[in-house]
Amino acid sequence: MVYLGLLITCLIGWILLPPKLELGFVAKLSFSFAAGVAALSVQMFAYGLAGLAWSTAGLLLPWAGVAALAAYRHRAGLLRPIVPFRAPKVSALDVPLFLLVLIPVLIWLPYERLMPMTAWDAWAIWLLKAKAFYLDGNLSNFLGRHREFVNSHPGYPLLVPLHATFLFVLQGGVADYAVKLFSPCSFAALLGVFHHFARRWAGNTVALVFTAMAAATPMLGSLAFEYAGYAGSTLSLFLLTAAGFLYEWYRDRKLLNLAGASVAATAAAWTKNEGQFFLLGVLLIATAGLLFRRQRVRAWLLVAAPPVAVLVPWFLTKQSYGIQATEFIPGLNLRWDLFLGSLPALLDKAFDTDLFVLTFVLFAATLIAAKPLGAPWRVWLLPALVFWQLLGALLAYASGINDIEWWLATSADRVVAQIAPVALLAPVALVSHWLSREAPEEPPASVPRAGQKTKRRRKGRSS
Amino acid sequence: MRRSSVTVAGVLVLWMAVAAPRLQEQFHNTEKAWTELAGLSLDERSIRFHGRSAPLAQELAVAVPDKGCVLLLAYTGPAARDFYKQRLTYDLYPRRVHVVTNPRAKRRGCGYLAVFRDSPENLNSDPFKGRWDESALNQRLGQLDQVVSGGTVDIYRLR
Repeated sequence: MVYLGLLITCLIGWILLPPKLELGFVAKLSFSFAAGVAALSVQMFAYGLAGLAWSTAGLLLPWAGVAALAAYRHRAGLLRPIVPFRAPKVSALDVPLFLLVLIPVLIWLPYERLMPMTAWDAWAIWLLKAKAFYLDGNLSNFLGRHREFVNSHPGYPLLVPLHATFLFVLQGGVADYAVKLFSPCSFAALLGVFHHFARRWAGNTVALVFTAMAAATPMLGSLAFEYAGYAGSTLSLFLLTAAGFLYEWYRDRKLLNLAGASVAATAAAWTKNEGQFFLLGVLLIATAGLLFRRQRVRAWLLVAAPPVAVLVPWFLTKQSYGIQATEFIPGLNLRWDLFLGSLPALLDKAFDTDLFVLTFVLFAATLIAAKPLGAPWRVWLLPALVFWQLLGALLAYASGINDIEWWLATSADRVVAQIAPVALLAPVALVSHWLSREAPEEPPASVPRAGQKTKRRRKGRSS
Repeated sequence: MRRSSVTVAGVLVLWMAVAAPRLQEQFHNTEKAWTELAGLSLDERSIRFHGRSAPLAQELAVAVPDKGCVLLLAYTGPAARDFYKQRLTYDLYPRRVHVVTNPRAKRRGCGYLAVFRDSPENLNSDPFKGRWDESALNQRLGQLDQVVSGGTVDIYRLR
């Protein structure tokens, strides 16, 4: 039932995605998983606050209604891109590149399926809460006993625990081994989302090249498969989705992309505390864009509504139980010695080719080459988000709430891994610009008649 | 060919060359896990990775009711104490679990007391650090009703 639950997660996400988003099948499945996880966890949270029972029927019936409504509104559009089916255009290079994406996943997946749940944070933090919520049948028992579980961080956000609780409810038991598959699923969705944005910017072949590189990055694989049950891969998925949508919004000004960025960044904040700092970064960049473009109130509401709807109730809930809002506030109690001491450790991890291959080498190359290649300023958006996220990590380390050596040794690689896909997306944005500069102008399709204007059409991949 | 395409192709080749040894290493890890774990049940795999905490949790789960509380007096090292505490919290939820290394320790409202001695191998790698007064412990246990004895842990009910 857990595996069916993961499929149901995708179906729920599928009906929530607006058909206006032009997505291929793999991309739609990937975004569906992300949207489904976020939606189900919010539904579980809302039921928990309202005192409604978490029963299979009670949880799924509303989605049947939503599906019926979506079918009525969008009709055949709901089934797109399955119906009408259009075979994707693939070049000779695309097939081997696709296999190259699959190879690392196929190497890691049996390993993850053979291992019991061994990763400490998986059972000590994320799935302990899921187990507690499921066995109690509510949020209040565990949150009310939060002082007993200080080491399990009761104040951490609930997206992963509540989605896992949903899967336990479907299963009718605490199937933690099966449930930890959500981490590999998050990784697969991450690759799909990465490919989607890269394809839109740089074409399918370049997208497959970079997706293959992401798939073969050891630390990303480790986060998803070795640390299965952690929230790291899920956070990574939402950070990437938010960054991609934000870039898209700056590229094409469609409000749908701005809404996507806000929803995904809120989901990131609802997944891990690191995501809350990222959300702040996304909101700052979005605010700058909204001010600069003098957008109307509707656009502001699209940005503000998701975090207000999800995070404010969560903060109020924590407050009502007396759970510490955060263990530290970034920037307060800043110890410069720790800040400066942590920086080399983070850089050391980022440039460790055993962990991230050439991700941050390419990232640095992007920063260096952007100006000589005459890249538009929006190419700097993704690096800005990466730097912002790393700044957040440094401010956390500089708070001094933990022994710094232990903290860096046990978390720095995972912290860098969370943002690494965004760091790898930055070179794609630059390459797309480079490709469009080098692209020869297309010859006219036919010789124009006298007096007829010739339209010059650039390939739709300029950054 | 365009310079950009050649560069992207070159980066891919370089990337895979750098990543290949790690992927190969992971392939061997997967192969090893397959050889060692494929024939085992999920419980057996869990015992293999979580050591004595698995049978310990099973015995405590049988003796202590869901709404109960157990105080575990553990003769074990400091790192192992933290591990058992966290692991039992997970395995035994919603029971309340306290793990201490002082046999005189008390917890108000806890209906069960359990005594656990870690294996010599574990104690070799993570030695006990504290004061373990065996006579005081025996005196304390003499006043209690024994519920379970002999397995991984001795469990008593407080009168």
